[in-house]
Amino acid sequence: MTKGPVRQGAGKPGVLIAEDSADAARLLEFFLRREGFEVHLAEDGLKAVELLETLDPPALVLLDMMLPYVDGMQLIAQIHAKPGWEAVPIVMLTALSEEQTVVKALDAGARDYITKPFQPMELMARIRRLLKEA
Amino acid sequence: MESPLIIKIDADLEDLIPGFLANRASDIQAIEAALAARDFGDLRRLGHIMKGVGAGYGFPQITELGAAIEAAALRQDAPAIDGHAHQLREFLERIVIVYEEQE
Repeated sequence: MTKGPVRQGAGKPGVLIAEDSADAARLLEFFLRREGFEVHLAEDGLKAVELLETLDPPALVLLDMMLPYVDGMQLIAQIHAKPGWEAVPIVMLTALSEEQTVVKALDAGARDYITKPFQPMELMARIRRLLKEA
Repeated sequence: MESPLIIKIDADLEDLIPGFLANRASDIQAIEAALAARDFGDLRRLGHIMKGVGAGYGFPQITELGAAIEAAALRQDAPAIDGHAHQLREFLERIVIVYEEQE
């Protein structure tokens, strides 16, 4: 996990993950590092807001919906409002599967919505495709 | 004693699995404590987390048990949660992990 002001290093594309489940975060971090990403992890919404202030815009943001302090929907709005971050694709990764929630997140600007439990290889394929399109 | 349950897991995940399973063993203790306190909010949270991560690590059974615990917590059905916790304990005791290289 990154501490304090951080910058993307050595040309690796960055990814910001906001995920409060340590097991889910560990799994995501493992596969994303293997894909060549520099991973910045926020274990709650407040930490995600802090990283939003200190990070260079990453290639991708992965957001859980149910986060302590600041939830995923609030984070979508803050990310889009942050200069330089407007075009950063946001992928929701959450166990909330109600249609209304999915529609709300996509309407708010999330580029994809993936429900947990996720299959890591499928998730990586979706991310590769998304970044190719971006 | 019931026969071992062979679970085949992607060898790439070998370093992550012991920690993941240890956390599930901790979940059982947390479930028992939350049941004793009748804290259905915490029980729902515990089930929700199990549901979200089990299959990703190669354990769909843990996802199913997590979903069942979450649903039972919403109904405030303590006996059902206790039963699911016993199922989780039995599952963890029976499994034998075999790591396999994936293509």
